[in-house]
Amino acid sequence: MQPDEIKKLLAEKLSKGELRAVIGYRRGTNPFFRRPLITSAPEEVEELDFSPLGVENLCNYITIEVRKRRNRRHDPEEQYKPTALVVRGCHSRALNVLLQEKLIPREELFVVGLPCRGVVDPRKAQALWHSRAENRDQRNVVIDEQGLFELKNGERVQLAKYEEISDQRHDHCRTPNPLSYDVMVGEPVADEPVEAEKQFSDVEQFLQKTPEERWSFWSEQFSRCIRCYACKNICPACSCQECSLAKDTEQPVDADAKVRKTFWLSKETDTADNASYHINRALHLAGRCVSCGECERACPMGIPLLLLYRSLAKQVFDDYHYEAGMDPEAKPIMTRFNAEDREDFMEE
Amino acid sequence: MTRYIENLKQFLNEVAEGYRLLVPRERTEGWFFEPYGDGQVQLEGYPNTVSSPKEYLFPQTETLYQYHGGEAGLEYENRIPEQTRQVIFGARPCDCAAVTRLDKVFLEDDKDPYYALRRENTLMIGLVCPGAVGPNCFCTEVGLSPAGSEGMDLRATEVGGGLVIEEISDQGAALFDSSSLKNSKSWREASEEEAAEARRVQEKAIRDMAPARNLAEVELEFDAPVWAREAEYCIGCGICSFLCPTCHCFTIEHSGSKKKGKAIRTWDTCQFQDYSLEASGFNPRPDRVQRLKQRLYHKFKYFNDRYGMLLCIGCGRCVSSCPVNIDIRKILAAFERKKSVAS
Repeated sequence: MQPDEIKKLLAEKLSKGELRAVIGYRRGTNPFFRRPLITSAPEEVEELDFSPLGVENLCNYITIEVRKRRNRRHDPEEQYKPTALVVRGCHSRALNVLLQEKLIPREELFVVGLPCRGVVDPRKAQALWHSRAENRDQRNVVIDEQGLFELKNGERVQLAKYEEISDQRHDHCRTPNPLSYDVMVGEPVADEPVEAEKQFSDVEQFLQKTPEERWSFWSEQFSRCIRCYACKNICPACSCQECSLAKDTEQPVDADAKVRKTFWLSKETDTADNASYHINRALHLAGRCVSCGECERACPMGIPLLLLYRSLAKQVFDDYHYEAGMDPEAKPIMTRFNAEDREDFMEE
Repeated sequence: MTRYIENLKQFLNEVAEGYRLLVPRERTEGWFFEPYGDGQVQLEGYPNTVSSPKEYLFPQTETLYQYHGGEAGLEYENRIPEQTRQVIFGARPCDCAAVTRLDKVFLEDDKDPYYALRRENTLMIGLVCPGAVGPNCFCTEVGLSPAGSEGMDLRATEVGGGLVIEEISDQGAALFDSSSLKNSKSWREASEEEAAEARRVQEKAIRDMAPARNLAEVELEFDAPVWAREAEYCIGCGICSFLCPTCHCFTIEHSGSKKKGKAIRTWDTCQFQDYSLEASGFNPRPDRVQRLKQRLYHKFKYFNDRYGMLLCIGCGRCVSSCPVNIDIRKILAAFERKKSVAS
């Protein structure tokens, strides 16, 4: 369906009371950013934006929505209605993970699939514009499939090619088209996705380093972490309501103390605690991370988190031939036992 | 005396002889303040840094004290560290103004000895912005200036390939009395033309950033619908607070055993759920609506009521780095419109 038809359909469904809300992208407060649109007002649906600047994985908002709804389940006024959600290919894999784990029921979703030829990295575009534009008026910025432009007396002047502002984190994309959807925006992307066997070339390259080199690389990266927890909060697979790794901790000095709070991890931002945080999170994401890259995009310190999680995704793929979120019916890999599973690690 | 520095590298080398020197430096992930170390400095294209220099006055983690069990019971050892004198070179006027806000909090009533020691040993050499150096700068809308001198000891302005340095504080002037700089050839007295040119650069920056509005006049409303609307997609991370040069909340955590352990202080933020969790289990700010509101109320009302200045210095870091584009200016605009309609 064409974008305008989809907007019309969603607005209609909202007015008829067939949808609880619509979740998608709309223009942000500067030309580089899109912000989430979460609305139940039919007139606001017009603001939906399907450009390559809409990058956020919006699945989290569904998890929150469903959780809220479940808390209200005893309210007689409460009605079950689906929520419309705009998803790209990798986001649909994240949805599948949530469906597999029974965190959201499929009947509460109305999936608007958005075929994806890659997205723009908003911070990169912002930085390039800022360093190259002659005129710093943001009203003159144009970003489209050709690249980044500045308007000068009505003329488009190119500041950056599309390749320069595109987000290379998605070069290993396995699913340019959403895996399942109720309606699709425009036509599916015809490009062949990266082959399964070739999808981890970045990890393979990294694995050429010796374990010492890898540890020193990660120690340096983790030492810069400021523990803002953006990586976990934006992650669709990090679906716990409270994260034990991020809880305030207090260990009673007196061993006989009656009340003992859980002590998982100190807030101390030294390399050891930072590394514990990231390694714990990585292990929880094994077989669940769908490489949508939101963690790395959100990280203000530029830590290459995707490489970390993809290392585990590769291991899961090599050992079990399993890719996270490709099939909503599949059993999550870490809850499944198969007599043929590799067990050579026990022989040593 | 107004001075002119032609050879910046030589000047910084001389500063580094007597001080721990911090300079802005570009990494692949953006610009950060880093120890001068290998002697490289490059000011071309220097935007505002990803994280602010506050970490050098108020580090994210510091040990407050350590204890260990002795024969007479627990023995405590304060860990107020020996502080080497440090110079933060090239801090933007907004970041320097932020330090005056931190001073209010940590020095005005009950003096925080950890902060105080660092602060006393820190010189700020501010660098005038040639205009909006960040993509989302709005310092003039919060009553500051791209050429302001608040919080600086020396103010540097880029003129003709060098720097015009104005004395702002006595400590700043005293830097040039230090042994390595006193008779140095890295600086000379600025000519009248150079000083005049510096003033022109400053005035131009101020003109270029003429404010569209005055955010100090915004009157927040506690029950306005905008809070819930914006908080609905806030992911509740700490980026905005941790990158903010003025956010200063912290938590104290103890670790160790009955015999041996330590207390550390780390940054904390009102955006985290546990920040306002009380010992009873009650949380007065149970969801993101109240938490987002708290951050703005602190910056634009509570702090202003108490100290007569905003706790926002308009650097735009929270806007540039928010992964879901929550924009402090957009939220404030909701109240601005309301006011103009009413008046």
